[in-house]
Amino acid sequence: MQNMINAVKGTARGVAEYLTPVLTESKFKETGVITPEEFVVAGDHIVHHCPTWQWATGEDIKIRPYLPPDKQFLITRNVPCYKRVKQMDTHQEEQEKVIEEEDDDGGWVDTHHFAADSTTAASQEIAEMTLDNKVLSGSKKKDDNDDDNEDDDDDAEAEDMEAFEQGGMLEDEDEATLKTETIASETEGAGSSESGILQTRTYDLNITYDKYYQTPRLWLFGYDENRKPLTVDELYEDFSQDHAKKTVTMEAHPHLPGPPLASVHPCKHADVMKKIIQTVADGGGELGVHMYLMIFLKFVQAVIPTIEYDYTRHFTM
Amino acid sequence: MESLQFAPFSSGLDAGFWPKLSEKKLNEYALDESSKDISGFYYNGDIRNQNPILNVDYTCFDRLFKTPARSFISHGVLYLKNTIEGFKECDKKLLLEEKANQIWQDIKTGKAVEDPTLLSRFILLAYADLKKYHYYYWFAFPALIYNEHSADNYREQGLFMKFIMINVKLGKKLLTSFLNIYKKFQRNLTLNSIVNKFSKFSGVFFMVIIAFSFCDPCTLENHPGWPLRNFLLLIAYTWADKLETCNILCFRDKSRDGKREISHSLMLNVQLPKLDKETCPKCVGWEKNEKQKLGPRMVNLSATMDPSRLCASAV
Repeated sequence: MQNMINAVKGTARGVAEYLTPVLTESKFKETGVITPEEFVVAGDHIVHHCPTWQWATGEDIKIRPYLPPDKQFLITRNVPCYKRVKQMDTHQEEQEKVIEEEDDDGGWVDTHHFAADSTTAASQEIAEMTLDNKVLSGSKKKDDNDDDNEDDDDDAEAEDMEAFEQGGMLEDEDEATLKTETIASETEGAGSSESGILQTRTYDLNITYDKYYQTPRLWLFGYDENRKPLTVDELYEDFSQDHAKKTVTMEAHPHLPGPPLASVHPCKHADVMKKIIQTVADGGGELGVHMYLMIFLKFVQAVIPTIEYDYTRHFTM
Repeated sequence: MESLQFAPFSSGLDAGFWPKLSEKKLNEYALDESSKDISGFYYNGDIRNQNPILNVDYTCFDRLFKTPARSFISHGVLYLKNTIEGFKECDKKLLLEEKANQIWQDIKTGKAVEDPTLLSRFILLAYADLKKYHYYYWFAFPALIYNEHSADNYREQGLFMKFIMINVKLGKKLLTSFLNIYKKFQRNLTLNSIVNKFSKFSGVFFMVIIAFSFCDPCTLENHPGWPLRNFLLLIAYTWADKLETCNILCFRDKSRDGKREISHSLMLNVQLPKLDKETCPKCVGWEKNEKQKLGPRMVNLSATMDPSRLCASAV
């Protein structure tokens, strides 16, 4: 349901964005919104301090005139994401219930609301597992993390991939090629993660300027351990549960071709920024607009706590 | 004494690649199966221990391909097949041999000294099932084999810090000039001009370590990345008469929390056995799939690209 509302809102917003004039006057301190020029200033600041972030142009036909052509949006690639949100702490999402949703702060989550029902949850899980096993017995055994959702309602059968595999004919074993999987298992035993290769999910993150909300907007594209794109449901595993499906929506990227991508919906950004600026002002400090994206990245971490992108942590509030 | 092992590239296709490819296939290539030039890139600033990734994104088809900042180009060729049978039966060995020969020619003619990016090449063999949104693909990162049985290569860890220390003692001059060269190299300085630049230093050769350097996408502490393989062959072919061993600086350049760090770079001392200059060496490089077998990969994007399914999931 939320998806549909977001889809309708998204279309309406497209029209509205077209009609919204470009913000020219700086209202950063009063309202928390920024102009495209300020976005570029803040972007330059983050590119300078965190070089993993880079400016990008995107598709030529989608270049926005109010931003410099070579500074349309920011991108950081191949950001590791070692854990799912579920694994991060001990809370169990099936016990969660959002209460007081109408609250200004976006509602509270009761983390043990359904605790008494845990036995039924467990039996449900068992039922699901047996079902899964049936599904899987036909195909090969799969990784636990590997969500098989993508195949579920797929009427079109994929080709049998094993038929493509080549025997020893194609290439001789080459001693100079590092076998990455042996390294990974060796170091697992030694307990040092420093030297081994970790198979992990990775993310490409983009920050665009949202003309309608006049704030930055974060876009995410995830890949699994084998560099396959994540499905929407798999993506949701990396969002904190009180944000998934609510603040995270699937929409077309303003600068890139292709299917809808996940983004953190920017409707609350300005308010949050305003509050932070207020806090800093109350403490006697002043926040330059160039710090905007640093703070922005810090607060979106609440939504994606396990994705280890870079931002400079050292700034005084 | 241990033989050197190189961390192979993993392919990294970006979200926009397949939609862009589908668009190209429908509107431009149609049934044309001939090879297309594309571009990829890699980055030497990764912070974590992962396979070095060779990225190919939606801009790879652009004739005036611009590598993202701090990234380095790899020249690719796309073979897009019309049928799954064509994909299956395509002579992969031949494709790799062709590329190997091209690299070998570039080394022999000295073109690769002028433009070392020619050493970094890849093959992308693909088949797109546009009705089902299934995409089959297989990458190869050709690497010519240089004395694969020789176990005479060895490495010296921690030498990089020593390298810097020596230079600090020498008054930072050389390190500064090295970093300047590196900066310019990021702006497409050719290897030849670097060699020329070094020859100007010949007066102080006996005091300093001369090292060949490359930007290493690998972050492992014991292994250099894939691009070194063809580079070593180039060095062996071009300068082995003068050098028995050479120092290789695997330059790594990460930034985290506002601090730049290069101390995880590697310094290797590699022996340069004589090379048979007449025949093109054997080549390896087809990427292994998820099961660590030589085989292609498949992605199913129907959930995100099929309009009918998008419609259904939007309601």
